[in-house]
Amino acid sequence: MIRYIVKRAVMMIPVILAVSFVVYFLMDLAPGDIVTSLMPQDATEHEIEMMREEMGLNGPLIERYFRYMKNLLKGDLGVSLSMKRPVMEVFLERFPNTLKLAFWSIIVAMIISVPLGIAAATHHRTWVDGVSMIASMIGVSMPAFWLGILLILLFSLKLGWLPSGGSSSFKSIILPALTLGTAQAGNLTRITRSSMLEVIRQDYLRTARAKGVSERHVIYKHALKNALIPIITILGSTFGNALGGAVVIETVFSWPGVARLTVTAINTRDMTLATGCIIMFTIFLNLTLLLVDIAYAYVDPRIKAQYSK
Amino acid sequence: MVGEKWKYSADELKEYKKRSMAKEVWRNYKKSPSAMLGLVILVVIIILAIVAQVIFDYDEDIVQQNIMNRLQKPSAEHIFGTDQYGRDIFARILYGAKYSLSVGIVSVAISCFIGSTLGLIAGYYGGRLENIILRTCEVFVGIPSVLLGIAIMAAFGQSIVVLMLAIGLVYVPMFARTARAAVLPVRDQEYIEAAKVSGVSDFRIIFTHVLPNSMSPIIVQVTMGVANGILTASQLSFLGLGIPVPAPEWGAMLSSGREFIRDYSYLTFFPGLAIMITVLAFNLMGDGLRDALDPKLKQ
Repeated sequence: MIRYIVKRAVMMIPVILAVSFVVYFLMDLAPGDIVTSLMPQDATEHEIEMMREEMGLNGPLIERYFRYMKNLLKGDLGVSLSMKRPVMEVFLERFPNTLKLAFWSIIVAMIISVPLGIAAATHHRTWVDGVSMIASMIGVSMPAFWLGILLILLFSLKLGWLPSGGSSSFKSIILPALTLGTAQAGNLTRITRSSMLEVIRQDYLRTARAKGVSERHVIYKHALKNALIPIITILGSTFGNALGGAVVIETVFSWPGVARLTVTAINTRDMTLATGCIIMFTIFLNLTLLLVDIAYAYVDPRIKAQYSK
Repeated sequence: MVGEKWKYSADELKEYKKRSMAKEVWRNYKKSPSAMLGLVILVVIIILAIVAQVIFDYDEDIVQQNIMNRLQKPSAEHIFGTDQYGRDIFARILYGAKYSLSVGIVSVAISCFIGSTLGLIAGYYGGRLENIILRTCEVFVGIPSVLLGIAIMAAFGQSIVVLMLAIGLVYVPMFARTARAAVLPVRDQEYIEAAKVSGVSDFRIIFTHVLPNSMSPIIVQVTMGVANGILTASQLSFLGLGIPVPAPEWGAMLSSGREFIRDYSYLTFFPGLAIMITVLAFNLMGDGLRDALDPKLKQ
């Protein structure tokens, strides 16, 4: 088991390095040189070069990148121009909000999709199946930000029940989580349905029915437990999708998370902040996926068995 | 089961043999009402998009501001109303279809070409090459697609070409993985072996023997990919990082209508609806194609 964890963790290092390099490289191409924007208009070439060296922004790309990563390990991502604060500090302050949003959206997605998928599978080829499949198809096709705006229109502007943005009270997270959750629910419903359909055909369910176990008990005790395995397996990637989807949803609801911070940073040409945010965000995402993988290894005896010898 | 073997007469079998793969797929595809609905919607959208190019003048009807007409609610004259600059929303939405369609289709063409080629090579040759390609894909999958899109748009500036390239690159790994997975079962077939023994070049084997036999998942991925591409493009435009204004891109229209949401919700409603219907059409077609290409799956 330990061997598996170590192996996965070691494999993660090159991925994280490569991912952050791609981001660093792209952001380096972006127009907007922090050094020239810091210097007075009449600064000479030489002065600019001196400043560049002082800030550690001189030399070829690879060299700068490794310096950047070295500083990252020390918790230093530079200073944001627009916020006048260390990037790391701003990031760590905002990141829990994004995690919170992603977490609740997955809860919402599960609440919607698991019952819907089960209903579709147990009523295979009936109107229940049809309606839930149409609903999930529409859910997959709907732009999440549009759904968010429609929900704001209904629940905040027309009914006045919930705030349309910000994060002042616990009510604030309801609409963003609902939006992001619904966006994930379409896919999850389809996966629940197909995995349930597969389980329903298994022999052990026929045996259970033959023993005289009630249909309800067969579905909820015998079938559901097995059908949930693939759903749990994709929770990791669903979480990744939720974090990615948060980028737009945070903007719609003015949710103070990292994603909105990144978009604002790019729009205000604060590249230090944008680079730091995207790199940290991606690293966290990959670490989360790693943790999820390790958690499965604990749950799934097959993976455990492979490494026990 | 045994009886079923003899269900067809010899003549019927001959007839069956004559049918090409495409005809067979179309015959299966037609059976699904939802898949046909998707196709019909798409054809209608394409016709409307073409008609819009002909009847509307970009400078006069699409981007010219007319403050006298601003924020008129939907009426007989402006069936979707007018926006804050007095432009007819219906005309803009019809005209804007070309942006979403072309971004979706071109970007998928890019990712399909690069991704499938990489996937075919990885699957066919295996070994070290496969490892390198798969690891590289893993790196790009590790960055959330919208963030990667944002980074690319920030790096190369906003234009429709960059948007197509950005989305195209974002979805390369998906195609590479799909193509590779599709090649694996084909790779060890006897006919591939036979071709190799008769001295056919690898390039020819890949394109004449491997590709046609592993195409189904790639075709499905293409249709679904267009749907994803359109959604991602509209997200980037919504964030102000897509096609620059004043082009009537749906995501950008939706975003600019947001400040008027309280009293003029139709400004955001119709562009969003247009995105959803277009994406839905591609998704329905993708689903239908999947079933049509692989009837075994449907059971």
